[in-house]
Amino acid sequence: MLTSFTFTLDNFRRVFSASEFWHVMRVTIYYTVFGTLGALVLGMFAALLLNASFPARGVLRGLFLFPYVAPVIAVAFTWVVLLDPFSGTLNSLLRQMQVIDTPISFFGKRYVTFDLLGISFDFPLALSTVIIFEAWRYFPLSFLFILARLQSISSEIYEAAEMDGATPLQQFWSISMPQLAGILAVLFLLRFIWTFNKFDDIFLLTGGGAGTRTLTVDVYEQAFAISNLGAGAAVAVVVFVVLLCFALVFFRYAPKDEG
Amino acid sequence: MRLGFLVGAAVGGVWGLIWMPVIGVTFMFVSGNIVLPAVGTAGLAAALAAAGYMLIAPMRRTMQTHIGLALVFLALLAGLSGGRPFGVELDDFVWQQGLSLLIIAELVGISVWLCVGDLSAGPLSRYRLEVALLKLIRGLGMVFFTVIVVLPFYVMVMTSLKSQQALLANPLDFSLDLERGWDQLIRSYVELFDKFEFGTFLVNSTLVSIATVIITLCFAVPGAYAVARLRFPGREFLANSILLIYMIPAIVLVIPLFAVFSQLGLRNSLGGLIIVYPATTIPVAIYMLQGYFRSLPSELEDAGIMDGLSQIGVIGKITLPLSLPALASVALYVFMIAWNEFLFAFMFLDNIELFTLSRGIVSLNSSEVPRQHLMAGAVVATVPVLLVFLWFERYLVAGFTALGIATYDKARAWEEMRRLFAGQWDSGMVPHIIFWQDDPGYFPGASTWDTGTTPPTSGCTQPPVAASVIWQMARDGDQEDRRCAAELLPNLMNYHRWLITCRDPAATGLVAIIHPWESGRDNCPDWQASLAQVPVPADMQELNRRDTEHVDSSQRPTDLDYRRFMAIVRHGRLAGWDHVKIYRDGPFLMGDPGMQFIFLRACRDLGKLAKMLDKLELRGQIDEWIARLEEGRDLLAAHAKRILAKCSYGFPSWDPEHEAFDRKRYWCGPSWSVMNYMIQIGMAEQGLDDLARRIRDATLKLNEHAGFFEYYDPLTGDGLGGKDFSWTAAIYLQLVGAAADIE
Repeated sequence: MLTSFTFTLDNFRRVFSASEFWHVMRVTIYYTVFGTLGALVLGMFAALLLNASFPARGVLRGLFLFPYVAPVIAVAFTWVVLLDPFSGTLNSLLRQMQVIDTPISFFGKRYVTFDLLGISFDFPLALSTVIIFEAWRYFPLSFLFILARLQSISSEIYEAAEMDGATPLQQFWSISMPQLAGILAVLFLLRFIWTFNKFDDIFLLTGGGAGTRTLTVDVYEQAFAISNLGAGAAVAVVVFVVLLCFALVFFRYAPKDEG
Repeated sequence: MRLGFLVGAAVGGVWGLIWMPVIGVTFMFVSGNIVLPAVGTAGLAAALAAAGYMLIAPMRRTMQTHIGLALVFLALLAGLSGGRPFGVELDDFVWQQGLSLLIIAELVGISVWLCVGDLSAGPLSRYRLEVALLKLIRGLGMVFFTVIVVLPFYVMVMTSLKSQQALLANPLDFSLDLERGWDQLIRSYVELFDKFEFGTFLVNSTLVSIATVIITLCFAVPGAYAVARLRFPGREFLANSILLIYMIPAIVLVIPLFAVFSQLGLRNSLGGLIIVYPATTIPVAIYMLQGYFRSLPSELEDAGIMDGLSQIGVIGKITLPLSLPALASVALYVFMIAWNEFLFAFMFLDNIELFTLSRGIVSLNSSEVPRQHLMAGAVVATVPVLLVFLWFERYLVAGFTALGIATYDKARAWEEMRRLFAGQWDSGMVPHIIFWQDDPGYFPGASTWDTGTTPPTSGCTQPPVAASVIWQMARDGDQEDRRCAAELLPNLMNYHRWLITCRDPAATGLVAIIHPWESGRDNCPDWQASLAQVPVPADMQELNRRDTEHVDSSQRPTDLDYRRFMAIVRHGRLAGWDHVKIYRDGPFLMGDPGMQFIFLRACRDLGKLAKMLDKLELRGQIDEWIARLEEGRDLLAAHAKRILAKCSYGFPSWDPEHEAFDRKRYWCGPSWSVMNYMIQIGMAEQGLDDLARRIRDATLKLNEHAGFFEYYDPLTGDGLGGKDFSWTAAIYLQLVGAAADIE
C-alpha cells in the first residue's frame, strides 16, 4: 500500500548482497561500453562513406536510417528469426557455405570456448550478439550527427592540406578528427546513458537469459517476474543513482553549443 | 615486382572474394536454388585478371579494357572451378547461373576500375597508395552497410510471404512462389487481420501516436518558446534539466506508474498511454524546438510587437509559420517514438481490444503461432512508420541536426531575401539599410537619412549581389525554392533596371556610385581623389558616431572622412533623394570596378534564373544590360591597356599617369607577381586573352631576368623589396605550369 508509512532498507540489503547483482552490474557495463563504442564506430564509418557526393548517396542515406526508424519489436524478432539455431537463415547459410558444421545458438549460448595457442578462453556469445544488435540498431543516430558535422567542415582546409601534400589518412587524423572530437564526446555520453537505460532490446532478444541480464532487465525480473515490486524498485533506484552521476558528468563536460 | 602491380592484383582478389558470396547468396535467396559459390576460386581468378589489367598503362585503358577484364575473370573462374563456379553443373538452371555470373564479372570489373583504374603497375607514392586503399575500403564499406541493413528487412518481408512447409523444407529459399496464387502469398496478412485483430491494433496505434503528437506539440511549443525567449527566474535551470528527464530510464518509471495507474484505474486503457507517452516526449520536443526558436532573429518578433501584435499573436503569426520545418521534424520524431514504443504498452495493456501493434506482436511470439505470422506482424508495424519517415526524411534529418548543429536554413534565407526587397523603393532602388525598428542609438539613423519611405531606409544602394544569391539558391534547391525565386524575379528586374538607368544615364556602360558606402569599401584610398573634393559645410551638425565607441578609432574611418560621408548624405537629403538629380549635381561620383563586375555577374545570373523559370520574355532586356555592361568592361580594359602600354613589366599597383605614382614605393606603383597572376586569371575569364597573355609573359620575363623579388619596378623591371621570395617563385611555377598546359 502506497499510503502506509512503514519503510525498510531490507530491499537494498538483499540487492547488494546477492552474488548475482555484481554479475549483472558487470554485464551491464560490458553491454553499455561496447554497445556505445560499436554504434559510434559504425556510425562514423558510415558517415565518412557518405561524406563524398555520388549518385546513390540520397538513397543510401535513407536506407542507413532504417534500423533506427523501424519499431524495436519488429527488428528484434527479425533478428531472432534470422539467427534461430534450427530454422534461421544465418545458420543455414553458414552451414551451406561450409563455414560451420553444427548450428550456433547465438542468443541462447552463454559461452563458446576457443583454444588459442593452448590457452582456452570463454567468449560470451549471447552477450556479444546482443551488443552487435545494439550497435546495428543505433549506428544511424551517430551516423546522422557525425555526417552533419563533417559536412560543416570547410573544404578549403582539405584543399590547403592537399596542396601541402597531406595524404588522405593524414588529412583524416589531422583535420577531420580534431573537428569531430566535440560531437564524438557528446554522442558517446548520450549513447552511453541511453544504452545503459535500454530495456526493450535485450528483453525481446533473450529475455535476459544466457548471461545477458542487465540492470534494467533485472528491475523487470525482480518487480514483475518474481512479483516483488519492492526489490525491483530498489534496483531501479540503483539504476537511477548511477545515471544521475552520468548526467552530472554529461552536463559538466558537454560543450554548450553542441550538446 | 612493383608495388602498383601487387596492389592492383590484391584489390582485384578482394573484390572477387566479396562479390562472389554476395551475389551468390542473393542468387540463392531469389531463385531458391541451393548452391555453393566457389569463393576462394573467385578471389584467385579476380586477382589474376586484375594483375593482367595492371600491365596495361593507365592512359590506354578504355571501356573495352574493362569489359576484357570482366571476361578474363569469367573465363578464369570457369576454368579454375572446373566448370562449376557455383558448385553445381553449369547446365542446371542455366540462365539464372549465367545472369549471376555476368553480374559478378561486371561488378568485379567496375570495382577494380574504380579502385585502381588510374594506377600504373610501377612504384607508388604513399599518397597514391593510400588513395587506392581508401577507395577499396570505401567500396567494401558500402557493400557491408547495404548488406547489414537490407538483409534483415529482406528476410522479414520474404518470410512473411512464405508458407510453413516451404520455410522448413529450405530456410534459404526466399523466392516468390507465384504459382501458389496471390491469396496464398498474403495468407499470413489475411489471417493476422481476420483472426488476430490486427485491424484494431493498427487503429489503436494510429490513435495513440497521433494523440501523442498533438498533445506533445501543445505543451512543447509554449514551453520551448518560454525557455528560448522569456526571462524568468530559474530559466537556466529549467533549460538544462529538460534533457535530464530524458535520461531517466523508462523501466525506472514503469514501477511507480504501474502502481499508481493501477490504483487510478488508468493502467489498462489507451488513455493511460496517452498520458505517459507525451510525458516522455515533451522534454526532447522542447529541447529541439527551443534550439530552433533561439536561431530565429528576435528582430522579426520585435517588429510584430511594434505593429501592435500581442505576445500570443507574435507566436501565432510570426514564430510558428517560420518554424514549420522544425515543427514537422519534431512531430515526426514524436510520432516515431510513440508508434515504436513497446515497454509501457506491454506493461499496461491487458485487454486484446486495447492492444497497440507493438503489444499485439508480442502476443504472436509463441510456439503456437507460425513464424511467418510473426514476420507479417513485424511488416505491418514497420511499413507505416517507414513510409511516414521516407516521406518526411529531409525534415527528420533537419530535426536531428537541430539537436546540436545549426544547418543552412532555406526558409530563413528566403525570409531574409523577402525582407530585403520589402524595403525596395518605388523607383526600384534597394537601399543598403532598412530601419525595421527605430533605434536612436544607431548613427546615421532613419532621421538623418529622412527618406520618407515606409519602412524607413537609407538613401543609397549597395553592390547588387541579390540576383546571384537568389540564382544559387534556386539552382541548388527544389520546387519550393524556385517558387520563391519566381516571386522575387520582378523585384530583381526593377532593381537592375533602376541601377542601369540611374547610375549610367548616358549609356556609357560604366556604373557609378554616389557614395563610398555604396561600394562596401567605405574608406578605400580609391575614393580619396573624389572624396577630398567633397566640401564640408560649416554648419554641419556635430558627429554622433557610435562605431568608435566599441571599436578602436584607429581601426575605423577618420573623423574628417566621416564628415565628408555625412556631407554627401546631407546633399542627398536636400535633393529629396532624387537619384537623377544626385547623379547630375552630387558632390561625389565615381566608377567602381567592384560594382561594375558584381553587377555584370548579377545580370548574367539573372539571365540564367529567368531561363530556368521559363521567363524567356525577360531575356531580351537582360541580354541588353549584359551587352552594355560588357561595353563598360571593355572601357575598363582599355584603361588597363593604356596602363600596360606604359609599363613593360606587369601591371602596376597604381596608375603611372597619376601624380601619386611612385614606381618604387610598395603599393604606390610597383608590380607584384601575385597581383599579376590574379589579374591575368580574371582577364582570361572575361575573354581578354591577349591582355592576360601580355601580363603573364611580362611576369615570367621579370622572374627570369631579375630573380624572385618581393615586387618590381614596373617601368624598368628592377627587383625591389625582399630578395628570393618563395611567394614569387611559387607564382612563377604556377605560370610556367599553366603555359605548358596551353601548349
